[in-house]
Amino acid sequence: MYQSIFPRNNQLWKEILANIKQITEIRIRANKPILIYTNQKELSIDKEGNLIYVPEKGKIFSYPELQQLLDFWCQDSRYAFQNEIKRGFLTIEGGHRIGICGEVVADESGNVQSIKYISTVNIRIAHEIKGVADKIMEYIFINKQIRNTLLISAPGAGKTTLLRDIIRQLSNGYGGNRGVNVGLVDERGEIGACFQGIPQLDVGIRTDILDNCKKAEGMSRLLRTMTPAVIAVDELGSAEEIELMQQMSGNGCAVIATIHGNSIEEVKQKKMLKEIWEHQIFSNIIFLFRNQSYFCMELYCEGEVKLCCRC
Amino acid sequence: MLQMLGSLMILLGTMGIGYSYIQKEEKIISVIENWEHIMQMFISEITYKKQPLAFACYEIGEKVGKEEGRCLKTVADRMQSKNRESFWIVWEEECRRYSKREKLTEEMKVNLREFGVLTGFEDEEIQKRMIEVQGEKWKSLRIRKQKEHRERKRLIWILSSCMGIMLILVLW
Repeated sequence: MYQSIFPRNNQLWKEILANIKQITEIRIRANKPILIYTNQKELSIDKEGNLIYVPEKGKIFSYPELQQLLDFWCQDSRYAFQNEIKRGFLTIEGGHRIGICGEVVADESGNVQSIKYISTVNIRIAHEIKGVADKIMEYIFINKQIRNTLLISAPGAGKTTLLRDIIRQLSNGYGGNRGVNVGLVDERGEIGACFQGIPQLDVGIRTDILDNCKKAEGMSRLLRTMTPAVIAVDELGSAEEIELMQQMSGNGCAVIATIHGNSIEEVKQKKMLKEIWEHQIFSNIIFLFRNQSYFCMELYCEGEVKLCCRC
Repeated sequence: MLQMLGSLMILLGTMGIGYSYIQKEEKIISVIENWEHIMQMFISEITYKKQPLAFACYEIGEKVGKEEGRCLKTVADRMQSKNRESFWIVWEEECRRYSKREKLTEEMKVNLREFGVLTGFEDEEIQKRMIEVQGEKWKSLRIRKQKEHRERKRLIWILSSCMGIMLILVLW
């Protein structure tokens, strides 16, 4: 899972790769020291690749070295990653996401065409956490029926991780029940982290993924061709998506979705989402938040608080 | 009777030498045709699947088979081994091995090597155009070789028969 992040034959990365499971992010900026982030610390590496605790004294990464790393990730075929570079990130084998910064090349209308002089990369190491949804599955899968569920949280509170685990458990089966076909529209490639079409993270054995596809388009396609029992999407937002979800509920296909929000009340105020509340599309609403170093969730089932716990 | 049999064998022998020479030339033309076709497949892989070159090598290698397929799949395997090796260096090394195995002409070796150098472009259209240029080189080489082969084939048959007849006359 971690083999594709750095070249194996370069000793510089050896210690980072040896400790990769503790690392959440690695930031490489041209002509600056490398910064490595774990849950608690900020580290760097020296010229020999040894981890050090004084980031300011870390190895300075030159611009050509950064370009060589980019060529490694793009397999010397940057043309094949034009769209990804345009969007500002690459997803590499293992599901790790590499954010890119540099000088944007835009057309006359201001639309981004490409990024040149890439001078910063932010490698977000993908870590799977299985079992985070264990406590809530009994509220989602009731009497062999899947209830429409909405996950709400601010960024970084774990809704994508939770969504992934819900999908996995529905797909593989839960509580003695056989798994169901799950359709996943992974517009930004964060849930399945597909590489060459194959999910790098475990989303279950009965999950069909449309990677890099707009949600509304993806939901229609899945409904027409893959007979899903449930469709999962990340970061709901447009009127078209909400209208589709209403249709899906009418057709007997369940929906699991996420939305950005600091609170349920804030989400209710959003114009586009009022229809969701008015038509009560979602039976379950899960609110995720961070409490110091813990992730917590509150589950509302038909308006009542049913669960409040730490993930 | 024995003399006639011997003469026939001599004639067949010299014509056989001519035939093997013709077969060698035809094999070279077949290899050139394969590479011309491979260039077109690269363009297709890039246009319709936006494949990186390493994966394109693997897919094309699977379809083409033979020695060319083996060369391409070896390139793909080395690129996917997660060691930092430039595509053009890997390509050059594997093509050198392939050239030795297949006993290619100098011109073919140069064409093969050039492909590795003309990679790594950031723009898809430019990368495709470079591969098209390589494809055109293979095509013009093929056309030239086929023309030469047609002319030489007749000559080879005539020369080998004449050589056979001369040998028979000398021995008689």
